[in-house]
Amino acid sequence: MNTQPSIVFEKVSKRYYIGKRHVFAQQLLPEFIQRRLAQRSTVDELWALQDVSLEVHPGEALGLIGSNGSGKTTTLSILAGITAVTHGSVAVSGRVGALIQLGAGFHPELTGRENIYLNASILGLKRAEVDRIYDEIVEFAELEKFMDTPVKRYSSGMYARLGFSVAIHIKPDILLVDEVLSVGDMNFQSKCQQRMRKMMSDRIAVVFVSHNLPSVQGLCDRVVWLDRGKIRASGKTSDVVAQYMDAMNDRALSTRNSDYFGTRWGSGDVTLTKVDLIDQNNQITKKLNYRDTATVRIEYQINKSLPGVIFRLWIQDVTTGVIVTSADSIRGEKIGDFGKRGVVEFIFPNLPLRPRNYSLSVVAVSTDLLIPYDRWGSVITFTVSSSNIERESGYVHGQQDLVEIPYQVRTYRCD
Amino acid sequence: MDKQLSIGQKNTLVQKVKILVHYRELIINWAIRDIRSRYRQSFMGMGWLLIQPVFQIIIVSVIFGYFIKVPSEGMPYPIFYFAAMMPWMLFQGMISSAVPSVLNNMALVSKIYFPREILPLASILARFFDFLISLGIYFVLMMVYKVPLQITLVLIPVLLILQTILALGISLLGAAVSVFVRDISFAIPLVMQLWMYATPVIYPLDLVPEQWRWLYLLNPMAGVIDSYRRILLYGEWPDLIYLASAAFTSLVLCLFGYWYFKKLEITMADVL
Repeated sequence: MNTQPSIVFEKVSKRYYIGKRHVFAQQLLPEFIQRRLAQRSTVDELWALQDVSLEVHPGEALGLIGSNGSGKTTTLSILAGITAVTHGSVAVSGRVGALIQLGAGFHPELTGRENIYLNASILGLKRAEVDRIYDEIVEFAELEKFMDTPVKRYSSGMYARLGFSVAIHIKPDILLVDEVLSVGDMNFQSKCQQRMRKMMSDRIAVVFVSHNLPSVQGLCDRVVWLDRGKIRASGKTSDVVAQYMDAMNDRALSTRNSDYFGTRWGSGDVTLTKVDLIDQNNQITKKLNYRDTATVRIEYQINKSLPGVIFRLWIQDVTTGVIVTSADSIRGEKIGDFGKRGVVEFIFPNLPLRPRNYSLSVVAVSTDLLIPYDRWGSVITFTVSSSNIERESGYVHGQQDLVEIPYQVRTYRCD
Repeated sequence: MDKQLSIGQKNTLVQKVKILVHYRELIINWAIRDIRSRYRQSFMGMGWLLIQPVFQIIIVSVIFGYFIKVPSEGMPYPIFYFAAMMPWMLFQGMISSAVPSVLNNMALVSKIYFPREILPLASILARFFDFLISLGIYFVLMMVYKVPLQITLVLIPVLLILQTILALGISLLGAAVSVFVRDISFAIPLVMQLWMYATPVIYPLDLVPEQWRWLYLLNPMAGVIDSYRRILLYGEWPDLIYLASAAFTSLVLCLFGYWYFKKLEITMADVL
């Protein structure tokens, strides 16, 4: 791209002081005293960003991903002029429309209408200019009935809708969007995505922060992955997202015996000795390709004479916890049919899961489903990779769904 | 001006003021909102703007004018008192609403950029509305006590500008510091009370012994309040030396306050 970048971040670092009140008070003192005090203790420092360099050009969307506390919101705050960098330099050219952590800077006591005017005038618009765009703002936010209600009575979705609508209608040159879309409903989310794409074609630069990887993939040309204030990876969206998902996957696995993942409990009458995910090449894996055939192999040991046992598994979306699907072994099987030790395999031909992170949980339970013998939550966390997805015809980037149900399309002409 | 926003730290004073002018509409809207919201939730509403001063005149006049018999330079005590109390209330109101103005709007400050001095500035502007009401009460009092109005009252705007500059300086300092040290918000009412007693509001300037008067007049409000009495009640010109020294102090404080405020501005959002 041969244009002037809209945003240039050069070796930006940002330090926060955390915790104690006297640390804030120090900032009131002249700098030479501050420096003296800083030498004495460095315990209350937190580097939210370290040596971060990035550029965004007009018409381009940059995605910021990373876990909580990785510095995404700090980056946006710096871009919006809310806070200053500690080291490095920032250049932002053009008007910035920003939505940081839900609120676009609304005053809770004021009505929606008053807030539109207030917000727009904070962003530097004249009253007459706001008059012109007022109806569009309200219409886009779908809040016609609530304009005279104080925004403190708004739901978080309404709040985000109004904030987003104001931010895009003030004719920004740069749009900063922080996780707001996740509180809106699906319709609104896709409406926002469409609008952002249109704005990008009007040469507006977008910085988009989200935990929702499909929407990052759907919108962004490039992605920067922040990890504890540093750039872990940056580049083409599909590459960085794939790396990120791998890392999340590994982390989930390494913590699977902790309280959060892999809670395991049960009566102990049956022990699940081993659970594996196997791909179509018969390899144990944590990573499947889209529409691969997958097999879950469960090895067990029965410790007591039982009337029967049911094996059940379920697959959850890691981000949302939504149960995507579940499967049962045939009910009422006699214990003899299983043997003291054995293997149960669940085979999923052309596993119709969208590219995301999933967790697999397994339970051996009594035939009346009342007594779990061995329940092993999130025993495996696996990724459905998008690497082979471009070749698949049925997949559209940015889709939010988890599962693909086979379907056919018919068309008829009626003219 | 949008370009300037990004490099806000490095702007010169003139540029900073220019940006502020660009935001004039916001300042005025914010001030109007301040006036509206202050009394919105109360039953008496704007009525409080009348009730408060009227009761204060009655109480102070009974105690200081009637019981203690503070000298009032030949004027009826209520008028003597109110001519000074009116500008003092304005001054005190400006400071006590402007100092916590940034802290009270942290939700906004942490979400969106605008020149933060707009908040104290708007709070200060909003107080002129109260002053207009007091001015109405003043005219009524003058009629009730049949004291003739003086032509010198056209000088009111000069004094108003002077005391606003002073209030602005103190408010900017107080508002900036109180974000970092919240104790300021608690100290302000106390400080303002002490300051009032160090200013000729309930007593005349003459009551201060001659040899201490130079020290007393280091308080810029002393000169301002005394000048109000002269132009409102006696048709005299204000003492130019008093005023000049008050103007000097106010201007220095205001410039320092603005510089200090702008220096701290960018770190305000980091305090949560």
